[in-house]
Amino acid sequence: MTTQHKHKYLRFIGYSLLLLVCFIVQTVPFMIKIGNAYPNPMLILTIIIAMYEGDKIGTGFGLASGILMDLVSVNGSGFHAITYMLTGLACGLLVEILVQNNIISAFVLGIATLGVNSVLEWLFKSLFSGLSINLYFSVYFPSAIYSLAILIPAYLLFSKIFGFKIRYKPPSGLPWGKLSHKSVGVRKRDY
Amino acid sequence: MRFFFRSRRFKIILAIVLASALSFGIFGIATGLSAPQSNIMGAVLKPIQQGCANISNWFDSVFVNFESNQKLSQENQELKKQLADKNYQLVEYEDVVRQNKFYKDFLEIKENNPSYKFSPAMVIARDTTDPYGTFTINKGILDGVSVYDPVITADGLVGYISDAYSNQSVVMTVLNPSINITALDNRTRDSGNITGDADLAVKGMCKMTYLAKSSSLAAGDFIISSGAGGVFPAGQIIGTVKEVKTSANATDYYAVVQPSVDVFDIADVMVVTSFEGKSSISK
Repeated sequence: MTTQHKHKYLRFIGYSLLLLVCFIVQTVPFMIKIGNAYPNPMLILTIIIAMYEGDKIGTGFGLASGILMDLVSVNGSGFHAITYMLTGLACGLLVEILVQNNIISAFVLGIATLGVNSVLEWLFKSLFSGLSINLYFSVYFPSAIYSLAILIPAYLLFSKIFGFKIRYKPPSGLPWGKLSHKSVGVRKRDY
Repeated sequence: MRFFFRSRRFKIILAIVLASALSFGIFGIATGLSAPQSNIMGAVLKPIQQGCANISNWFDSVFVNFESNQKLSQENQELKKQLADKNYQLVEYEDVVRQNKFYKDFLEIKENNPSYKFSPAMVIARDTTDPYGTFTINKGILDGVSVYDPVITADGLVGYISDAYSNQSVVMTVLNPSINITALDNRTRDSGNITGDADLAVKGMCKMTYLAKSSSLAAGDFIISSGAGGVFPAGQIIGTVKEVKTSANATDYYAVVQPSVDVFDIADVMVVTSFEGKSSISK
């Protein structure tokens, strides 16, 4: 086994353990909440892993985290499995072809994915009982903001734990590819 | 050396020493005072002696402290161990007290309803993305729990099992809009349907719908399960009426009900696995 493969497997073991820890932290009965707002560490972890590892790995971890969340949901419907999987796929693809993997991208992707997920969850939970704007702004919107607030520290901590350097964008023929190579302070990913 | 002892110098020194000794001795005997040479020597040697005595005392105290520190440290370790044991016993005692209270409350329910079969359970996880208080308990199919089994506490009805896995189950609470419980007002015997509402769930409340226009519910009335349908046992307290409102289509009323159980704050529940009147759909 080459060093590259060994590092890869070690990283995946680390991600799996982190996923389990985030699941326990998220579902423990008396987690830290602010008003009606709970953070969503599982989704944050999916976004970060997808940004660092790409669309395929991001999709896989999104699916795994969604399945875990469905275990504690009513009707175990697979809603979280699908939405988290799509989140992982979207973040991985966007980092592959459009944006760089840095803090600003993490913040922007966080806003987009947490926002879309909060709307989808609100729709799914209240569609058949009358859509309630009050529910969205009382529960889902504050939860999205809370999750966004811990996304950046989580992103930085993740990169420290797994020893990542900022990833460069591969040349793809798009204008963004040339711009990234001229950027100052952007280094290759260390395998 | 031999010549020194025979020399005149030695003889002079010897004579002086003997004369001094004799004179100081006679002086001491005659006057009763200490000899001058003793005073002089004492004055010279005192600081040195005092210094040496202090050093000696310091060493003494160090060894004494070292010895007593060792004893104190040992005693400290033993006391800490005893304290840890006592703390452990206290935790066990508090746990037993809590369980005792829990079972005492359910004993009353069991005495009033001898047909009930319970399975005690603990809340082990919550769905934080769900605003209706959905939680997971540590009992599943292998423990005799099945879907649609009602979940209660000593304070009242909590909900029912919506998903049952091998070792755990998910409970849908009364705040969920998907739940429907046929209910009665305990005072007026007006019937209705308890269900959740997205707006009310944020405030921790549910509603009783399909109230007839002739119903006379009032705030403060207790709402209990009617037992119709066979999913929930009859007579279980669901909550109290907060207010009665007209529905949006103005054809009927609904009551805002405050559940008797705070579904966001419970830790232990009971699953009613069997009761008289249970329907086949929930078996």
